[in-house]
Amino acid sequence: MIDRDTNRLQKIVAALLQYRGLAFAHEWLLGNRMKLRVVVIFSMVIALPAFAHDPSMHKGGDAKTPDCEQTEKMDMGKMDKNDPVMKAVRAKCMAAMAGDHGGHDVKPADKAAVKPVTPEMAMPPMQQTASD
Amino acid sequence: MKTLQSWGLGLLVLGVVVGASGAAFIYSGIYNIGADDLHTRPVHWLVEKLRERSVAMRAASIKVPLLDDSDLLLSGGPDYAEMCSGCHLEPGVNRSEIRDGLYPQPPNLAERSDLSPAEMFWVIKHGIKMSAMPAWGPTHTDERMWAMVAFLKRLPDLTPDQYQILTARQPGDGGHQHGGDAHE
Repeated sequence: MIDRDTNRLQKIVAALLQYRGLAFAHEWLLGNRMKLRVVVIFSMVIALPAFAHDPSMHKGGDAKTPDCEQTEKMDMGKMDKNDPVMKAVRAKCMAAMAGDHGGHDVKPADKAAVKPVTPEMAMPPMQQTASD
Repeated sequence: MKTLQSWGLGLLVLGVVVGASGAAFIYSGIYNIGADDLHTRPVHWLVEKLRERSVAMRAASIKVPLLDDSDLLLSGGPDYAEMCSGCHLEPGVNRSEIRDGLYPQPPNLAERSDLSPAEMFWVIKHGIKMSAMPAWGPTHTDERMWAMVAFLKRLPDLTPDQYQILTARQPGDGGHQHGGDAHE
């Protein structure tokens, strides 16, 4: 069986080598192993940029757990504890640390205090705090 | 009378010529629609101005709610990370692969935005024609989009660490699927 497969393979190779270009390439490659190595290495180098794609360019919102250790680096003394950002960070980290995944304090947005305001109360600058 | 008739005829002929020229221009395919072929400056100015005025006019009547609730940030943050950050970036990130190929290029919302909250809301809800900005209105409630606006207002001031904390979803949070169903 092995002999039959080998014969088949030889016939296929012989048929392909009838094409001059292939025969030349075949002879050129096998006739000089150094050239063969050069071609292989060159092909690998050409193919390398295909892997140069930085997967991190695709990431976005894939962090499952808030990295609350970073809050230790924040200078809490300089931060306004009533700042919505700080309140949100604290809420998130407290829930994460408590391991309270099911009863997370993230309220659905439709339950948040969203109410229309008069033009007088319209969007204040960041320094102002909203009053109900 | 004759003058009016000749004016009318002239205008009619002009209209036909302009229409025929326009049709020829369109059907010839001579205009390059590729995103990598930039508009000329006048065309760019025209399109930008058209967009700005259209958004401003339609957002003028929108009542902006109070956006200082921290719960809005907790909702808007993860949504922004999942729906927007790929194009509009995040603190500490200056480019993304998809952004490089988009024209017009999406604004970097991690920097200051020129839009008012009402305009932000309108753009999020209705999208922008002939751009990569989708209309999220058909699949998201107004409350959810206002939460994103609240987050966008704070985004330029966030550090990368604060951004990571606010945008992370924990197991059990109501997640968000790209192209998912409307949430009510």
